[in-house]
Amino acid sequence: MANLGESETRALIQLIKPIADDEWIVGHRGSEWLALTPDLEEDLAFSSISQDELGHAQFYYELLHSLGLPSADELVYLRPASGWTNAQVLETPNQDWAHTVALRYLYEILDDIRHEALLGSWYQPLTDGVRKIRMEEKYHLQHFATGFELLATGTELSRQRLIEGIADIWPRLGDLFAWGGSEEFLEKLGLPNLAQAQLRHSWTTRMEKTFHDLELPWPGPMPGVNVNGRNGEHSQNLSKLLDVMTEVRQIDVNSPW
Amino acid sequence: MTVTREHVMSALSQVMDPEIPSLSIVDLGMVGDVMIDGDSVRVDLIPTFLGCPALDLIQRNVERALSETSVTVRWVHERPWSSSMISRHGRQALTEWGVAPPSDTEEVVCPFCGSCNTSHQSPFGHSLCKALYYCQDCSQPFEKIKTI
Repeated sequence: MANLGESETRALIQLIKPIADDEWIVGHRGSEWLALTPDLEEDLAFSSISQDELGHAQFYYELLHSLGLPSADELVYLRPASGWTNAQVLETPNQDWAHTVALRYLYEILDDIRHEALLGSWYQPLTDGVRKIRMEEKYHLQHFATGFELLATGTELSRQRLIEGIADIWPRLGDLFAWGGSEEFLEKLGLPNLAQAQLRHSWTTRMEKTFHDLELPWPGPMPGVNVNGRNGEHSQNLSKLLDVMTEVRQIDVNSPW
Repeated sequence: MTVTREHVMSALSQVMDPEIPSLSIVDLGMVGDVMIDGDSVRVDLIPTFLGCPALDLIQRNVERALSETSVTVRWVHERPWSSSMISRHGRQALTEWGVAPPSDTEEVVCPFCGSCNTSHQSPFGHSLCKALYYCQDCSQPFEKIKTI
């Protein structure tokens, strides 16, 4: 492996950490649906997808560990909420099914754009994994795109619930596209397509097409970054999530889990 | 002790997929480079799916199978696993176990009765690598390894 300079290492951490945290948090929230989804097939599908997301996060955490951060276990189980860099909207507690499908579809589109752009990185340990992840994520996107369409074109009620879900999520999407602080690190990594403005543009273009095809009302202007989860700014929802997630470990933190 | 390649490959072909006892990790296409130096062996394993919970178990089983040597196991990502890496023997083992092997075409053959009159139920089965199908002729639901 090529020897990385200090600034390259810092830039890679700045890039990978938010992506890892996003994947972990959606994976965890997804796991909370286990046995509660509308039907058995969906239960299988969603638990499979959630397991996959946690696996992707684990790959990124191991990469971060190789760049000098603590181990995956420590990053997941011992970090306080302020150390997490996931987008704040992703920590929202699960609501009704339409809300979850809406959030996941909006997220998976961004995830797809982000992963495609990551393939342009010169850091091979990253691109090797991303190539693999894309083969798997294809199924996630397909799944939530189908779910989104089913709700939009199903019954009056399903469509209404979907629209309400989107309306709730939309104003809080801002930091999903953001990075913590300056974006100079993206230049160092040669990944200009991951700049916030670029991500927003690519995402909006794809989203406009979906909304047009499904004749859904456009929810309004794209929100700015009010709070930035990338800088560790989080709601109480994340602390509660972490309390539940680490509950067993907290019983005896020194046990060899 | 000098370890031979035959010895290592034979040991690895005894490490089975934890869910399909007749399918070895060699037939599954998970074994990448094997480097032998005296009694030191390095085995590169290729993960099928990154989130597969069986990976740790498989690693431990490889270490156990080669415990007479000084073995190091690495997970490598340079060459991503694809379902086309399953060997002919592996495909046969899958069918005998009641799981349809991956296919390049739309046609999926029922592993129980051999009928092609099958329908796709869901891209998600009970594990990451499998999709759900249903055979219209023998009325049997079954799983197929995802084509990736």
